[in-house]
Amino acid sequence: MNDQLKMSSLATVGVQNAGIAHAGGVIDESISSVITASRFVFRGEVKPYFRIWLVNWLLTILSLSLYSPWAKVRRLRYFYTHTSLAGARFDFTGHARVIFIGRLMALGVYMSANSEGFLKGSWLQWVAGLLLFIIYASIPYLLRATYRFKARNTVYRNVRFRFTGTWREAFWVYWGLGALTILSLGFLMPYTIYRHKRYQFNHLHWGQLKFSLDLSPWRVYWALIVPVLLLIGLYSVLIVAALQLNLNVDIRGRAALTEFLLPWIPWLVAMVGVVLLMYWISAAQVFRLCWSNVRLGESRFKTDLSLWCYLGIEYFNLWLIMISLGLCIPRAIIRIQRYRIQSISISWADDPALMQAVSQANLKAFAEELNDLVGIDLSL
Amino acid sequence: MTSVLTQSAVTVRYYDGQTARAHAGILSPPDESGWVVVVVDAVQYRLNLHRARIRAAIGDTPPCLEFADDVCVELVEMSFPDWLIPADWTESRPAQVRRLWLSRIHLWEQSPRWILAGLLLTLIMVFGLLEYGVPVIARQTAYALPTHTLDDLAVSTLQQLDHETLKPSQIPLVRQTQIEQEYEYWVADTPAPHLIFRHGGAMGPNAFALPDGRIVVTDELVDLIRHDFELMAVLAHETGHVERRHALRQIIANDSIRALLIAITGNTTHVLSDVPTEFIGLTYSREFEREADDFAYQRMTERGIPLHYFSDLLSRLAQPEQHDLKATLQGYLSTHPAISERLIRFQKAPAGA
Repeated sequence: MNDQLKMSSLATVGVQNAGIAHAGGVIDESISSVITASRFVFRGEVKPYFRIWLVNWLLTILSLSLYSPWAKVRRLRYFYTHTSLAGARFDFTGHARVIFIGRLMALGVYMSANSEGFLKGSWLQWVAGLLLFIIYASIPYLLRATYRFKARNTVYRNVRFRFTGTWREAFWVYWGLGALTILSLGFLMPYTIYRHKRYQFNHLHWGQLKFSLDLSPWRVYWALIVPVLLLIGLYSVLIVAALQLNLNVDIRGRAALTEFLLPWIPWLVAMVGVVLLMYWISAAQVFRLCWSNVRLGESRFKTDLSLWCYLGIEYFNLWLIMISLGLCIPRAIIRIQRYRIQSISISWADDPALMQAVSQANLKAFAEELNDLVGIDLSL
Repeated sequence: MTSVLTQSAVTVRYYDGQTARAHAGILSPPDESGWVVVVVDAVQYRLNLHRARIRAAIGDTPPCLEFADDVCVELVEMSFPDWLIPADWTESRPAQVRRLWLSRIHLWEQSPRWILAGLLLTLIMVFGLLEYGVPVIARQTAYALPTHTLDDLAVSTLQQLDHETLKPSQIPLVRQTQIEQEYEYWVADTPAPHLIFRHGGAMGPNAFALPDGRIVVTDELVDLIRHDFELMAVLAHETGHVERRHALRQIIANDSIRALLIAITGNTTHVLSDVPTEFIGLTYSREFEREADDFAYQRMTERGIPLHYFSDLLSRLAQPEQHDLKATLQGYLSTHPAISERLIRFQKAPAGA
């Protein structure tokens, strides 16, 4: 099919063809007044994506990593443009150059985080430490900048998304609640997830329409009951194990450590399994909760993602990636993305044709925003 | 206007940048200064290609032109008309290359031939980089840095070893001084590296150079030798490590590989970057052992130490562990080259040398 598209030469696209497509003035496959709901469609295929993925890697290696921002844009654009709703594609318009700067900053973070040994004894270590502290302290700000960058560069029907969350709320959600979550040994996690999702959705706009998440925190707790129980189980097993071992083994030497760990390997594998399971269940449940309770204007989203199918795909993917030594990563990603995206549908509150009248929100304020310190993408 | 249009105009979807509405339109080739016209419902929109940004085609998504104020012209067909990248435009060469790339990248991405060529090129480059690039950089940098760069590391390494395995030496001071004097006379340059004597414990008979150039000798090694020249041969090998700055080179090589891996994968997880780094680092350390052997060979020939003392001791050291499978397997991953390989040169040395 691709070949066909590729080969279709310019000559075949005459004015006659154009005239036919042109007839209505407005082209839109889906628009008719009887449609009340539309499902998201993902048209990504394994083979083309595998090639893009491979080329991205090759060029990244050949350019000594300089290509990686461009690779990221290609990857994002493949997923965005192959996702469509009501016959129209999404697209990602971010500049790789901007991501490149973000990467440089991330590299700076990494270098200063790992340089304390190298700079020991020199005054530079204080500079590096201070820099590291500032960067950690500004994580919420950077997260917000990343959301803004992502939203602004996502377009649907050539209308941009927009993220208007404040940095105050970001600091409260990510620093304040983050710290409280750690103090509560993780039991505040569902509430923090709730606030995180509320922050992401409630400040998101598409053109003039606004997203809103109608959800109570208790529903998040209820949805995450299994991961929380798993967490309690994990804690108790670890405590029992710690008491049992008495932990007075000298595990300084390398040989001693290996001997010490050998009988525990099955337990360690089981623990990794439990943690993965916790992660997958949480991801699926949060996805289900969000996409069943979010509105765009008055139109409601719905998802029919099944937890068991999701877990099955993730489990299968894990084995696929391990057995193929990573070569099947594209297949795994396409599979899970297709399942996630195609599970979502939207029921139009009004005539879906109204969507076409949606206009870009307040372009002037928008342009000013561009001059702000946005355009940070830390790949977070 | 019509005659030109019919030959090469293309159908497009025109977005005005204000609404979500897509308009079917016809895009005509540009005039000399890059102005194009999009006709939508008999209304003409004039746009300048010079200020357009191309969103390249990807997968089965056709390319797209972005103009100022979010005006967007989406092509309906995958192919990119040649006149969108005219050769005679007065724009810089990089800009032209960029446009060419943007119009072709999706074809290259889907062409098995290009991918295969890229794969080969990548393999060659990776091989060249690891085999020649990194070692050269490491060597140049190591010689450019002052000799005391790794003093701190050496002190902490010795402290840790003293804490875990090494014990104070039981060799009488007289014997220690004697060995030091022999070393200074037969092997070392001035100023001679310091020798440190320790009881090896779990380490057994061994001698190794610390990153700052001091050489640790275990009691077990001193007991094992049958002639002091054997010890001198080992010390010559270790002096080679010091003289050629192997510790520093190893660290620089490992760090540059790790930096490359992180830059390429964007992943700072230790497991993912450390395991390959360790593996590649091992091949370098085998290279260093060969260099140290070369140094020992040269030094012993210069100063008149019979070469067979080196191979005698080496084969005696290797004996006890040669029989089990574990040792054979370790050989593949070991930091030293295969023992037989190392022995040959010293055994074949001219008799009486």
